[in-house]
Amino acid sequence: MERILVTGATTPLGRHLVRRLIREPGVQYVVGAEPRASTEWIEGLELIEFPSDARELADLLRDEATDTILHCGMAPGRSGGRAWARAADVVGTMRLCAAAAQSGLPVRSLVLASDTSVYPAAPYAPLRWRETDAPVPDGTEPAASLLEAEDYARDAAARAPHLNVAILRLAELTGAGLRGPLSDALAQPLRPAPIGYDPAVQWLHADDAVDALAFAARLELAGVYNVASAGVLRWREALAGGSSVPVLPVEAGFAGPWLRRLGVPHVPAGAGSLLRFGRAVDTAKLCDAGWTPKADQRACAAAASSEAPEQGTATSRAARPGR
Amino acid sequence: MSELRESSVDPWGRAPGRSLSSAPYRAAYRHWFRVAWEGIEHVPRQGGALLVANHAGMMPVDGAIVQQGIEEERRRSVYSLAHHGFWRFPFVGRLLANSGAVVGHPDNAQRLLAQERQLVLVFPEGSKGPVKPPSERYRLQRFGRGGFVETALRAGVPIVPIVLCGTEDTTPVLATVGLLGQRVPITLQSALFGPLGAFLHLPARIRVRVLEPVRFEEPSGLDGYPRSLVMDRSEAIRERMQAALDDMLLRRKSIWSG
Repeated sequence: MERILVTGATTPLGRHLVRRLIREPGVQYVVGAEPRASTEWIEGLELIEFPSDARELADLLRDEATDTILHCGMAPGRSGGRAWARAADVVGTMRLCAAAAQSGLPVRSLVLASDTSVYPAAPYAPLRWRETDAPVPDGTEPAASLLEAEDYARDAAARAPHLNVAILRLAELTGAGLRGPLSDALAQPLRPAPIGYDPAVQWLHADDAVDALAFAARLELAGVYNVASAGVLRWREALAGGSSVPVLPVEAGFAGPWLRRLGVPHVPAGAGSLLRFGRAVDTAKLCDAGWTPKADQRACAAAASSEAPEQGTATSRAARPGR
Repeated sequence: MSELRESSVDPWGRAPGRSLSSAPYRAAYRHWFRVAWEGIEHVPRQGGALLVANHAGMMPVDGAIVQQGIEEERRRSVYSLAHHGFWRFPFVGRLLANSGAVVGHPDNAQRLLAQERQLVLVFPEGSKGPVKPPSERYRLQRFGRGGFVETALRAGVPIVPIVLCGTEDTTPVLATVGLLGQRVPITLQSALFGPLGAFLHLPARIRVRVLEPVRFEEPSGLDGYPRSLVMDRSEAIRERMQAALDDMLLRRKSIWSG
């Protein structure tokens, strides 16, 4: 891990990762690829435009002598609003994987930042999802796009024996301005406690997330790995130490932003099934490989509830130019 | 307060003082059903084991009786695998989990048996047991596709067959009717008192017999086992359980006093 290409370097997770990578000993060069040239500037990072075809991309990888690709372009963790993985990101992943799998390139490790939302939050879920449990695409975003992206990464691994492809399924991100549906539920002044349910929830602290991504790249891991901060929390435990009110576990839908502005307790978009059935993963595989999370779920819940959601989607568009 | 919440349930959602082992439930176990066990020594004192029992009666009490008995006699907790459909409804899933039920997912079974070395109760007849017609009284239904054998093989634990006699007389089925594409049994009590009658149980004496455990020589932890092996073992266990059930019925002098 000396010369690194980071995609989605200006996403909230990407920014956090780049700041960590440039401090990493042994790293010589970090370049960030974005769909369009960005005006954003992170110290120590060179930003380039994401090439529009696989051959151009392969040339770039060869010219830069890139040995590691960290693909964060698909990763969730918006800074506000709903900026989910989209079709454009899937096509970008396809190109990136096709380029990295070409023979004669110096690339040894490709790490795809995926998401645990590939596992459905459903009553039939096991206590903890394992990597071997085949995720069932339920046709909803972002799970469908993520599974498609994972397929391209697996394809690249199958076609290029010299390439180690690690797929990291990250739990809902929190800390460093990253948010998800659970954080949106927890950051309300009066937090919603769904009537009749007490699901298991899990977060991944941003520091642990970038740590796991760097770990996978450094060890040139191959395969699928679940990533979450230590432990599992029940929703009622996450609510402890603050005020909460019982609510029906129904998503607020289009009324969500208004209810949030008025401070009315509600179930935010995307949190409906999470607050009924929950989602928790088994991280034993990555921990057996030698990674240990530093944050526990209580710290994550504290981080998720302390950071108020940013207003509207305008900020997220500004933060992600050209998306 | 937060400490209390943290320790109130285990990762499976089970409350240490299970809601079902509350005083009225224990009274029903002792004085209403007057549960009598034989062969309880076949339930291992330690290590994982898959308990396999027959399942019958409207609003079946068999799961709760096996759990209660083993907890009292062997001082071990029993987790039972239940259909995930119950977890869809508010309160129902939490209540079931509090009393030791777990979503019937293969991974959950492996985690409980192989990693946590627990006792896991499963009803291989599934829903076919409780909804069988009166002509099938005390006849074991098909044991699914033998998935329980594969679960035990993979986890490397013995299967302990448990036969309950008397459960079918607590809610005697008069007939079954088709309702919304489902077979619904009409019990004596629901014929007399309407749908809520299905929750009433007659004081039939319940006898429980634990059979000799089935141990396997096959290696554990394999990804798959031959279907023929799984089906043969499953059928052999079913036949032994049916034979034990027939024997218990033959020895029974009265439904009420056993």
